[in-house]
Amino acid sequence: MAAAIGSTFLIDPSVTLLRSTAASVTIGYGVILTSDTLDGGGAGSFLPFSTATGIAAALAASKISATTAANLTAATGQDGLTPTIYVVTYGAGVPSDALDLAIAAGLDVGPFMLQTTTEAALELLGVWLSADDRRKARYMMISQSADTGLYGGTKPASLSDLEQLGCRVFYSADTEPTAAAYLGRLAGSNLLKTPPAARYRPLGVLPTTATETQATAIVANDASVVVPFDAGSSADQRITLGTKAYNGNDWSASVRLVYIARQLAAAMAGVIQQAAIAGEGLYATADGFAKTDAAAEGFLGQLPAAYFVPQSTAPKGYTIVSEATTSGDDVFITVTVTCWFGREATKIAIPVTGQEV
Amino acid sequence: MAITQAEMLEAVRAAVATQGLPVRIGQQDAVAGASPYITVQVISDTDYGYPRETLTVSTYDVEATREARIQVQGFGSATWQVLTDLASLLMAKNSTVRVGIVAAGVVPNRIVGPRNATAPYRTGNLPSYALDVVAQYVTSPTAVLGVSPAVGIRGSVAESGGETLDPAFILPEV
Repeated sequence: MAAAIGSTFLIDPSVTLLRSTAASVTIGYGVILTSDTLDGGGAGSFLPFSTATGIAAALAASKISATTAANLTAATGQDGLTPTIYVVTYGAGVPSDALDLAIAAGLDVGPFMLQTTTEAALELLGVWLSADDRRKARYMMISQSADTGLYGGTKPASLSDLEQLGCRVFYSADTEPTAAAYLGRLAGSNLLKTPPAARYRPLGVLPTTATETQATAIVANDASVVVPFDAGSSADQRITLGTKAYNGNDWSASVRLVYIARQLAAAMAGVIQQAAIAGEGLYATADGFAKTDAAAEGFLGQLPAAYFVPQSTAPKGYTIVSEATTSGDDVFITVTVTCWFGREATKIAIPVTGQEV
Repeated sequence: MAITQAEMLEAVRAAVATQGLPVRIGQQDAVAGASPYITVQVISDTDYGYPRETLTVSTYDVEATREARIQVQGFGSATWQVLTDLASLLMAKNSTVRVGIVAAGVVPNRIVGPRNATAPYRTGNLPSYALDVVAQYVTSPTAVLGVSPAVGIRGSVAESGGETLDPAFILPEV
């Protein structure tokens, strides 16, 4: 306790009273990328939806297609918080360009999905995501595919650009809104309360037609699939199999990383803003490091203990190191946060042994 | 030059961590918490005495003593004991908390309370208690010659043995 209270947090001859940055409980708005005309707006324009009434009105006014309405209904109808889902249109243009425009216009994009399941289009969006590490640290891509290659041996080459941090692929042989349901579930998760889950109960989504062998192969290929659970006859007796991002990383760990990166960016923006308001330079010295350390701790300390696995070298399950780095003539304060995450269990095994006496 | 609220928050949060109570910066939430919680506020932070200067070839050091008054408030009857324990930890000569704080250069030298701070009539607030802490500390060098301000903050977030987001962000964004 003495160490925790010591030099790291308490003494910092900083200049102004820092107001702690309020942490967002979610990972940003869920976004569905469509070619719908929306409100007559061009590529990059967007509309928010969170209620069935709003979705029905937009459908009646021909602002969104029936497919978009079905996806929105699934996205806003899940357990957890009711998220606001934005529909971003790319019209006749390129989806990633429209997403760039929406982001530039101030839309806080978090998880997003492409309504079309055309693999070439999914791949292009995957390339866009991977082109910049800062994108991978802010956005997550939820995809859906009917590619039978997902259970036919190795991963299909036609989806190889989705093998990266923050991409998740759901297999569905049907037109069920599986990806949309997960998009809404993720966007509606209170991540400050509990770590995210890869496995969830999709409401309003029918299990796809896949045999047990196929489902096993799909999970082995790091994709996910909705299957019946328990008796499986009613709409709430469904479960998602698969706990991995499509690159094989634990999905829950991927979401945690992105959430933490997003919140740390907000906290550090607060540090820069406060220094700017006070009219004082932020120096890459002990003074500056104390500020960035305190801001990072201010967020990480709020996360529930279940997020991390404590280590002997990191009793809280994470470490924060601020240091000076240079880029040409420029000096940066680099804040390195290393986390130790637990893994979401893939199954519960109950071996029962009968003893003959 | 001041102890920031965020840092005090972390210090108190660490000190009462075993109690499992939420700790917040005082007067910044729009609504009161529903369950017992603790708030921290820096009431004042002023110079104390005169600064001492040391000028060398490469550095210009100004050391100054400052005195901060910090109010720790507990909301909910269970917090009375937490504040009482915190006061002991801060003032008892050999407590781990005091040793840690003093080692960091901050000396708590007066504590008043905890006292009953419950609003007397029909406020609907939880019972509340206040602990007033006065601490002195010495600021370290205020200027390092030849050091330019950092142009920004880079972030790197990684899972040990797993994925790395580097850079996770570069601020200000250009």
